[in-house]
Amino acid sequence: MRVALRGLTKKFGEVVGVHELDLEIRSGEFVALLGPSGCGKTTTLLMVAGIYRPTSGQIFFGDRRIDHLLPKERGIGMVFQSYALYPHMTVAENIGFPLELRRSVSNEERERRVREAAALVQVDALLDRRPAQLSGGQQQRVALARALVKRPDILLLDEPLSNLDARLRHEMRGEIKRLQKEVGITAIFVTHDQLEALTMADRVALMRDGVLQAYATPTELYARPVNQFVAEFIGTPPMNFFAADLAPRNGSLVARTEGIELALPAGPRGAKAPPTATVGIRPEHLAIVAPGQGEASGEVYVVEPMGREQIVDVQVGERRLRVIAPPGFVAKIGERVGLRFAPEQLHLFDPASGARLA
Amino acid sequence: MARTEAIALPRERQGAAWWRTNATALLFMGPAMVLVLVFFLAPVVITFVMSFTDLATSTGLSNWQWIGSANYERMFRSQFWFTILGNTLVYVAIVLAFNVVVGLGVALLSLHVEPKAGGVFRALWLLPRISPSVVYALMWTWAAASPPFGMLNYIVAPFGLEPRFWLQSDPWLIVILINGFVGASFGMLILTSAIKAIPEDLFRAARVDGANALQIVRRITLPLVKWPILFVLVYQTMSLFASYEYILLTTNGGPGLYGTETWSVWAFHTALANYYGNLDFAYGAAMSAILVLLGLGISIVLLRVFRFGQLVAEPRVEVD
Ligand SMILES: Nc1ncnc2c1ncn2[C@@H]1O[C@H](COP(=O)(O)OP(=O)(O)OP(=O)(O)O)[C@@H](O)[C@H]1O
Ligand SMILES: [Mg+2]
Repeated sequence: MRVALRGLTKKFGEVVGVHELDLEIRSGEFVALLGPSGCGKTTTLLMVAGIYRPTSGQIFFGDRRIDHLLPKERGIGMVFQSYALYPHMTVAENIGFPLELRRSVSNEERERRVREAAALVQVDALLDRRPAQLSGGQQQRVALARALVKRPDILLLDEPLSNLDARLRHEMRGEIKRLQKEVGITAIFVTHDQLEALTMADRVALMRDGVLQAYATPTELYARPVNQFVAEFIGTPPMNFFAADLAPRNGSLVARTEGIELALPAGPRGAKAPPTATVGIRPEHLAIVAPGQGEASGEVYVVEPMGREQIVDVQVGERRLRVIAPPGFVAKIGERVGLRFAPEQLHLFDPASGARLA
Repeated sequence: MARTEAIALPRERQGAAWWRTNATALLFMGPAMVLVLVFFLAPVVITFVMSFTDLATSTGLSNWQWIGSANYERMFRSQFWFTILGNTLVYVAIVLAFNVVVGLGVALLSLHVEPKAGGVFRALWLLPRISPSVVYALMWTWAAASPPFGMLNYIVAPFGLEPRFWLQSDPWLIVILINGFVGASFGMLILTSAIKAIPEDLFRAARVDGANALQIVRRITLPLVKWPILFVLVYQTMSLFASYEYILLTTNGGPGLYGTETWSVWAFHTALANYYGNLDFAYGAAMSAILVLLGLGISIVLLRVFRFGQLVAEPRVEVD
């Protein structure tokens, strides 16, 4: 089922939770709503679910406008951040609850579908337990089963993994993604964890302060962030930024600041180039080279080994740049090094607006 | 841990070890224990002791004697004890039902409307509790005053009911309403906070699952406030058995002989305000002793029926 949000706005008195949100979700697509705490992700989801009434704007499921419908009339299943399992019901009763409320579903059919849904998320051995007797991961699966048992058109997930430990989170990440494709359901999930969004979603909607910042595939978001906020939010460790003066040289542009001099391969063209810009480069696109080589020079500030790689902070003049170095790299603190910038991986942003320049 | 240590020690040192481990705890609990002894246990003990004497205004404080179980024999030979026991049970049962049902109803209603309006609504229901008992009781006697006065008469007039002197014609109605409204506010307070403690997501989940307002109340809210409801039930049972002030201030046990006299009112009349001027302290104490035993017995039954152990042990609402 296709989902379209048009100018969706939610105000809580003076506070703007979500502002003029436009979003198209294709049928069968898995979309992540990503953003820092308080940016309006849950508010958006609750409007789609019908729990919150939008202040203005429209919601379409398929070609039908549904923002006046009750939650139960919308054909949605939802997994809450707290899982919201009914503590006084067993797992089977929890999963069966949505069907129990429908007159049209017979008892036998309900039991069959509860078993089916439980098997789908591998909780069929736990049907007689109470939520309090389940681990976090099991509760999460039960919540998924309850959301799926009525065969909704759209699945909504609010921070489905945030209550799990790191290992289980990784496992469930893959499992939810597989399940979504297997069932073929249109799904929207909310997360503040960019890694979760990038690994699970077909497309990511990045929000800030209730305003949509970017809506693109994970690859596009990573490779061509549309503004500085997106660039900063996507990627770990985060992108390095520094202010630089731009000056033309030999028909191209050079970005210059203390300790750094960069030739921009495809800089903003000719006359439109502003005098200064914020330059961004990801740690994985910087390499440590011998002193005197590369486009910048500085000294090692700290080295953090991570097993597969090491994160090295290099002090360049006033600023500190973060670099990913191979595991074999050895350096003493204070040692002088050069830095090489991958030329195709530079991002330029307007210092005032943060918009992408090139 | 402390116990296994103590067993391993030689006999004469066990006491010392016990004191060492528990002295701090006793020190901290001491003041509370003294208060409980002086204000809760002592009166009960004194009541029981007194009930085996003939202490009364006529004997004075010095000439009383032990008379064994004579007071109890006298009580159960009285031709009224059965009526009064019946009155008491009916009174407790009906007022209790009113308290819990209306308290729960007001809590639910006030939480389903706009929050500010709900708060005002609840505040109104608290008025009987925060106004002084005597003022509240007087209001009711005026409301139920004989025709042509009485607010009740004005209220029922449009429904074609004859004006009447309610305290005479329907004394139980007045007794039940006056106690019911005060008690309902207690249930309302406890249950409002219990319902508010249920995570909002459970209600949202239920709405997404397809439940309507009534189904949410029946299938989600009520099961989750089961324990607070039982608490209100048990607590109100106890306090209703002992309550007497509103009956005293309105019908005073009448009309007629023991029309609305409950056990506690009977005890009060006998011990502290009887018609003959001879205040029968000891006889009244015997009546109170029966009330204590009755309350104790019923609380044990209630706690058995509702399995108090589970009430304490079971986690109430899992948040995550
Ligand atoms: N019921 C409410 N009443 C008033 N303000 C609210 C309410 N719900 C949300 N807000 C405000 O709206 C904004 C968006 O909130 P929302 O819960 O959607 O954030 P979120 O993106 O889900 O954040 P988080 O990651 O912390 O869950 C916040 O500023 C929040 O304070
Ligand atoms: Mg949220």
